[in-house]
Amino acid sequence: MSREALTRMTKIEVVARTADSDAVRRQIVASGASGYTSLPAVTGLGHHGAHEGRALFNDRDALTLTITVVPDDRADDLIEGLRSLLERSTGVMFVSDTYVSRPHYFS
Amino acid sequence: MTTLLPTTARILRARADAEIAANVIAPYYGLDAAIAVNPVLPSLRAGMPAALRSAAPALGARGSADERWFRAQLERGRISTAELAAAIRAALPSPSGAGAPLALADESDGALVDGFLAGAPGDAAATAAPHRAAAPDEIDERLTRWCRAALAPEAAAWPVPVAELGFYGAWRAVASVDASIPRSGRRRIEDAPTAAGAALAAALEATGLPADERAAALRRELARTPGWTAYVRWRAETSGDVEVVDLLAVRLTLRDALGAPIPEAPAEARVERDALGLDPVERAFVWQAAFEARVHERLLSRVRAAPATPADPAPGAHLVFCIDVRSEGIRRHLEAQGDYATSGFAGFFGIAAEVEPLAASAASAACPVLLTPRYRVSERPVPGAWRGAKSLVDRLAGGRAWRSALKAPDSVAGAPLGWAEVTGWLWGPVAAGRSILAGAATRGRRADDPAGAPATLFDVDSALSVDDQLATAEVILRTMGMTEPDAPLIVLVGHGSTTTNNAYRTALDCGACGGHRGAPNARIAAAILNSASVRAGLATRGIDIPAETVFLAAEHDTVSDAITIVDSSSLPAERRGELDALLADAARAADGLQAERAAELPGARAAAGRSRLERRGRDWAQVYPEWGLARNAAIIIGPRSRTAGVDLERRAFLHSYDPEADVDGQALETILTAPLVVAHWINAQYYFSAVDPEVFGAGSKTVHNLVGGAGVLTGPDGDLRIGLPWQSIGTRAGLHHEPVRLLAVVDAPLERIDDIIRRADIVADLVHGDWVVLVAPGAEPGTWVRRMREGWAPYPLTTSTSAAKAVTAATPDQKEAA
Repeated sequence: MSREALTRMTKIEVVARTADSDAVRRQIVASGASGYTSLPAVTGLGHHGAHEGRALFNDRDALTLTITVVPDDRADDLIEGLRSLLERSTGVMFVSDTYVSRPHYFS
Repeated sequence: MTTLLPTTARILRARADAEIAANVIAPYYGLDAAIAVNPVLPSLRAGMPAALRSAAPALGARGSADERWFRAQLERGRISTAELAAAIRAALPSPSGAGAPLALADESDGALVDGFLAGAPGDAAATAAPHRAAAPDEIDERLTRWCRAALAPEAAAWPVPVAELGFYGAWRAVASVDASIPRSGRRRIEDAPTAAGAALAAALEATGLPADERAAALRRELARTPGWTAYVRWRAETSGDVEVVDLLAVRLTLRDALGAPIPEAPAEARVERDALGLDPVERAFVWQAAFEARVHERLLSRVRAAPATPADPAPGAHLVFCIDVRSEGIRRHLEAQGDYATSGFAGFFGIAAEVEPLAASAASAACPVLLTPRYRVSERPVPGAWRGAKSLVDRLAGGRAWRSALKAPDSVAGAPLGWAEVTGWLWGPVAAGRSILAGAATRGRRADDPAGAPATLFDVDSALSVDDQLATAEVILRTMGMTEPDAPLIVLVGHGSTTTNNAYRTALDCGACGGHRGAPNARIAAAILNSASVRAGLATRGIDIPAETVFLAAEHDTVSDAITIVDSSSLPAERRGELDALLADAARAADGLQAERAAELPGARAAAGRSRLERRGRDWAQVYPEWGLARNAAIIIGPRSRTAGVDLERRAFLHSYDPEADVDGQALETILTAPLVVAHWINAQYYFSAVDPEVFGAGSKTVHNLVGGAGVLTGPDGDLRIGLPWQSIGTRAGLHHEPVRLLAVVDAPLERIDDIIRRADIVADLVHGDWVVLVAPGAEPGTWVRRMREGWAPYPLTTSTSAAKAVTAATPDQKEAA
C-alpha cells in the first residue's frame, strides 16, 4: 500500500518519567485526542545518560513513552500544551508526520 | 469574567500551569491504606538542598529544624562541639575554591564553633523560617468545605452530584444557587464555563497575570490547602475522577465571583549569608550533619567490621521478617532464645498481588505503591471449612450493616439530634463501659485480622501459572540470599498492628503491603515455596530446598509483639512439637521486647507485661498504642552476621543481602531501587513531620475529625492534614523521633554500588541529592566510606567515646526531650 492511500496526520511522542506521564496523558485527553499508547519502562541513552527499564520491584521510577496521533489541525494546540507542561520537567517530545489507514480512529 | 470560551490552546496552557503548580507536593494516599511518602517527592531529583530552598518555602513550610532547636541540642550535649566543628569543616570551601573562611579550618573546635554561632546572620532563630500562609480566608473555607463534601461523600451532610457532573461541575451547579453567595457572584458562577479546564483558563485570563507568572500564582493558591491538593493529586493518579485543574477552577471561579483577586506574591526575602559565607540552607545542613553524627557513630560502631564466619550449626528454625525497624527488636530477642536464624526482606515477600481476603468487601493492592499489582489472589475456605467461613462473613457483614444503620440518620438533615435523644441512653453506658474497662473487653475484629479466622487458603494456582510461581519463588530466595535453605522450618513473618479507634491504624500496618497487614502475603509466598512443582523447578535453577523443609506463614503484631502462626497446614502433625517450641520462645522474646518498649511508651510500665500493652492497643482512648517507626534512622543491607547480637534500638531497617551470592548485582539493584526507596519515603515522612508538624504533620489526634477514608481535619473544617500526627513523633516533652536523614549501610563491593548508581536514576537521585547518606565498609576493618557525588570518600566517625556513653545513659525522658 502506498502512502497516497493513507491519511497524513501528526504523531507526537513524549518520553517522561513515569510519575510525570500521568500529566502528559491528561493533557493529551484534554486536547481532544481520541487516544494514546503508553509504553512503560522504556530504556535508552540520552541527555541524562543511560536509563534502565523497570526495576524488579519498582514500576514507578522508570521512563514511559506516550504516543498519540492527531489530525494536523489539532496538533499545534497539543504540541504547545505539552511544551508548556515539559518546560519544568526532564521529558522530551518528538513530533513527526505519520500516515494512518483508519483516519476515523484518530479524529 | 468573560463568557467567551477560551481556545483549546489557552485551555491546555492553563492546564499545564496547573500541573506545574501542583508538582511541588507528593500525592497523599489517604488513611484507608496509609502510605508513608516524602511530602516534597517532586523535588527528589533536584535534591534535598533544593527542596529546602524551593519546595518547602513554596508550601509555607520549614524543611529543616530551626536553629533555636539545634542550639538547644548543642547546649544539652546532644550535639557535641567536636561533631559541630567537623560538620562546619566539611561545609567550608574546598581548597580549589579557597576563600577567606578556609583559614578557619585550622582553628580549634571550640573557636570554630564559637565563630559559627556568633556569625549567624541577623536573628539566628529566624533562619530559614518559612512564610506561613495567611490564616484561612473565605475562599479557603468555602473550598475546603466543598472538598470535604465532594471527595469524601460519606462524610457530607447531604449528597452532591459529583458522580454526574464532576468536582467542578457539581460545585458550579450548587454554588450558582447558594444563597450565601451574593446574587452578582452567583450570576458570575452561572456564566462561568461548564468545563473545569475552560473555567480555569477563563479565570486565569481575567486575573490579567502575565503568562509567565501564572504557574507561580497557582502554586501559591494550592499552597493554601496543601492537604487537599495532595489528596487530589492521588485521586488523579488512581480513580482519575478529580484533578488539580478542578480544584483550581473552583478556587479561581470563587475568587472571581466574590471579587477576591489572587493576592500578590510576597516580596522575596534577601538571602543572608553567615560569617562563613553559608546561606541559610547550607547552615541548616551543617547543623543537620552535626546532629546526625551521633546516630551514625552509634549505629556504625555496632555493625561488625566483618561478617562472622558461618561456623554455626544449621538453625532449628529460620524466620524471615519484614525490613520494618520494629522487626529488629523481635528478631534480636528471638535469636537470643535459641538456635534461630532470622532474615529481613520486604514484607510483601515479593508477592506483587491484589489480595482479596475472604471477608473483605473488596480486593486491595497488597504490595508497595512503587509496584502495580500484577495478579489477584483470592482467599477461599479450605474444603470442609465453608461453614466457619460463612459464619465469619455473615458476622462481619452484619456488623457493617449495623454500623451503617446507626449512621444512617447522620445523612438526614436534623435527624442526628433526634437520633441522639432516642439512642443516647444506650450509648452512654456503652461508652462508659469502654472507658472504664479500657481495652479489657473482647478484641475487635478486622476483616484482615488473622486471629480466630477460619481455615482458608489463598488460591495461588488460579492467579499464577506454575512458571510464574517458579519465577516468583526464585526472586524471593535469591533476593533474600537464601539459595541454600538450611533450616527444617522456615517461617515468613508479616506484621500488622491491632489498635482500636485509631484513624492511623493502617499507618502502623505494613507499608510494603500497601498499608495492609502482612499475613496474606506471607501465606501466599509460603504456599508457593511449599509447592512440589515449584521446588522441582527451583532445583533445575540451582536452588535445592530439602524435602523436610517446610515454609510457614506467621504475623507479628507490633502492639503486643505476639507472633501468630496463620497457616500451619503444611506442617506434618508429627512435627508440631517444633512449632510449639518456637512459639514458646517467641512468647518469651515478646515479653523481653515488651519490657524494652514499655520503657519508651508514655504512661506504660515496664513491668506491666505483654497483656497490659496488648490491652493498650484495644483502649479506645489510647493515643500512643505503639511508637510505630519513630526514631528510624538507618537501613542496613548486608548479611545478618554483621548485626546479629547487636542492639540497634529498633532504629534500623534490616535487609538481608549476601554479596558473595550476588555476583551480577541483580539482587542489590532490586534492593536499592525498591526497599531503599520505601525506607527513604518512611524516613522522610517522619523527618518532615518532625521539623514542621504544622504543615507536614497532622497535629494532635485528640482534635481530629475523620473525613471518610481521605484523612483527618483538625477541628470541624479546614485543610486535610497530611503526614503523621504528633502522637507518632513526640510527647508533651518534645520530639521522640529524631529528625535524621536515612543512613544507608550497604555491604557490597564499591564498584557494584557504583554500577547501580549509574544505571538507576532513583538511586542516583537519593544519593547525589543528599536525601540519604550511603556508606559502605572501608578497606580497613572498622572504617567506612561514604558515596559522594564525586565518588567515595572516607567517612570518619567523629563522636568521642565519652559523648557516646552520655547518650547511652540518657533516660527515656531525655530521649523524649531530644
